[in-house]
Amino acid sequence: MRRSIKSGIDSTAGFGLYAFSHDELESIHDATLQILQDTGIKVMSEAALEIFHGGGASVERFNGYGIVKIPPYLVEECAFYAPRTVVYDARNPNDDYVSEPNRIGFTTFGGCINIIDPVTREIRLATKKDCGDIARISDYLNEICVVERSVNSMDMQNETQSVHNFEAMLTNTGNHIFLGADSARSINCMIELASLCVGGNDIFQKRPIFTVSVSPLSPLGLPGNECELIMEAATSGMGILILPMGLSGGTSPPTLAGVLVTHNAEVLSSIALAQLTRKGTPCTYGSTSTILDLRFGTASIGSPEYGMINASVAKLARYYRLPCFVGGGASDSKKPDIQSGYEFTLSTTLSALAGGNILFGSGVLEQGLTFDLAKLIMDAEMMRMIQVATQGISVTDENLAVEVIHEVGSDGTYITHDTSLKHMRNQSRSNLFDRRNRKDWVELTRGKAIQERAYEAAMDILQNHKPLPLPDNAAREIREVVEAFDAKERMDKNDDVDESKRKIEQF
Amino acid sequence: MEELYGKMAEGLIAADVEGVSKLVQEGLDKNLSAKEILDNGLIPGMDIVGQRMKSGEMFIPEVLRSAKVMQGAIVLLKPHLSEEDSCGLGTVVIGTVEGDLHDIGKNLVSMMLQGSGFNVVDLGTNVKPQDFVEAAKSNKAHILGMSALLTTTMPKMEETVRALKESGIRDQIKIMAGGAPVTQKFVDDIEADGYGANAASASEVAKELII
Repeated sequence: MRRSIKSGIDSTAGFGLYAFSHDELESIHDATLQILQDTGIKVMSEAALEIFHGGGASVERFNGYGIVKIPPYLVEECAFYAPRTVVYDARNPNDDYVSEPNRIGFTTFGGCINIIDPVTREIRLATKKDCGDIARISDYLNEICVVERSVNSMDMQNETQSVHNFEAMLTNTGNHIFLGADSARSINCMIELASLCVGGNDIFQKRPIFTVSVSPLSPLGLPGNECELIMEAATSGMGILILPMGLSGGTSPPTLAGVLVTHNAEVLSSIALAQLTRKGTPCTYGSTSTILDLRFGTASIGSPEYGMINASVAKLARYYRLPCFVGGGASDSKKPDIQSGYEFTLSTTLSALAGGNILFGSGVLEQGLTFDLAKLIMDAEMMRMIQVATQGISVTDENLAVEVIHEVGSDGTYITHDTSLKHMRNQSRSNLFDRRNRKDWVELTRGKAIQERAYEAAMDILQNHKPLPLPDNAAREIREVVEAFDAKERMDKNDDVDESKRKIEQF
Repeated sequence: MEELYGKMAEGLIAADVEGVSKLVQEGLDKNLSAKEILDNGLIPGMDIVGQRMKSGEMFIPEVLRSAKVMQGAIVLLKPHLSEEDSCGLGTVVIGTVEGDLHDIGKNLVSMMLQGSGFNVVDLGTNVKPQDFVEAAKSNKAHILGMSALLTTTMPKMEETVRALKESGIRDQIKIMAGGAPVTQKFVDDIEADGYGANAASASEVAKELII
């Protein structure tokens, strides 16, 4: 039989999500422009107000802040200045991550303060060592494309936590790093550390191996510290991740379309500040927005709305042709249990189908407060399943397999056919998730719960995985820089404390 | 009288502004004292609201509406209350600590406390330790409430407790702390007195602290 080539048939690569029509996206965009022009945003930094004013926005000053109203042309122009496609450079060049439209990758949730201790199983404050350990596990997991500061080094003094987080991560992963910064001083220290690890500042300028995340204050506010970080990062040639956490019904409208409008306004105004500071600053369109549960007053990140909002944000980012970093996979459960699994799957699947470039949320429990290693390992297995699912079913002559079907007929079997040998490795492969029969499962696991096997896998990775080593002497040099930074910040802080004590005494 | 008090409670739960005002007026006309109306009708009504909030039966926006009706009723009663009784269950000075601008949780607690019958002085966000001390002194506060969302501002809570000790009024005031990252253990560590895990429990804890 001869099958000629088909001309011009419609085809779809992969499963996707048709969340909005183009008209609907335009409606969200238009509503956002109107809010930015007529309502304005609250900017709590004099330097940022100057920049907005110089760029063509109107500024009305009040005590300690200003309301900035940005004309539509300026919003659109600034969104256009941000690079379309971003390659997230990594210390290990093999791990450079390309975030072109619809490419999906995963990372962990960020900024947790607690961890379930993998040995005692008690919940406790996270430490710098935990921050490094999770970075090392993330470095090992293929499914993780960039490494996020999963927990804060709660054992380090406040003003220097972000620098300690960065040190712990640099030594444990070769991937691109996303993290928050305490101050402009911290960013400068981080740049110094990163430069030591890549062989100098000139190389770092060409290959910035980390991105600073900043969080607007919903609704419609840019706090002074965030403005400072945006301006410092832009000036230093770094990229920023803009990550609002609007809470529907609390700090954002109770209707989800309205959440997209305020969220979009918060991101676009931050992008405007970055671009007006330095044109071409890479901006990652982020989101961890969700609902405020109006019964319990908690920021629910295991709700379906979390998935719906973040999948929608991925579509919005695509509309602006910007790379995105959106929520997917977080949980409200207090333990790595079945609830956490269901919640992970729903929101991650939605965000993945929507084409989000970096989906963050793995490893987290309890509204984002607590991290757990077993959950991270189990989540990674599910990420792999979701990657397979989003590939969709490719309809080609070969895959339709008419000849093969004809050959096997109703008496034969496919398992012995050559095509099975050829395609078998395309199947999804489970590791922790058990697909064996009961007898084999009992023999292999002794019926041990999946969480327990996941903790064991995590400990095994921690013991055996060796990330790309830092250049000679770099580990020692970065230690010295961090210690010097620590000492200096402590001294400045003591001066501040003395000052406030003096004030109290006066009072 | 029981029937009247019961109706007040029902009116509060249903957030019936006019109904509750009428019932309060009716009570005053029947020569009930303002304090009796408060203690036997309104506060028990808000207690039920608090319980239903905790169980998830009532949504927070409904609860806030009830709290607003309660505040309206207290305004009606105010001229009839002695100075001591007019701060209701007690005066609470509340605010988000220095460096932190997050106030949604603090506002909820503030409204719930007012709704439960406390006199609340809300200092807003980014409140310095010495400003807390000053406000606690000038308002003769029974309770000081601190909120923080950022882990980086939590140490300001400890500084505030220290400032209260240094000012010499620590013994005269109960200190409460809350906010998403705050835990009972943290509250114990900084030597505060009460931990409010959410807005509903915050008013329960506040009541326990001053009884």
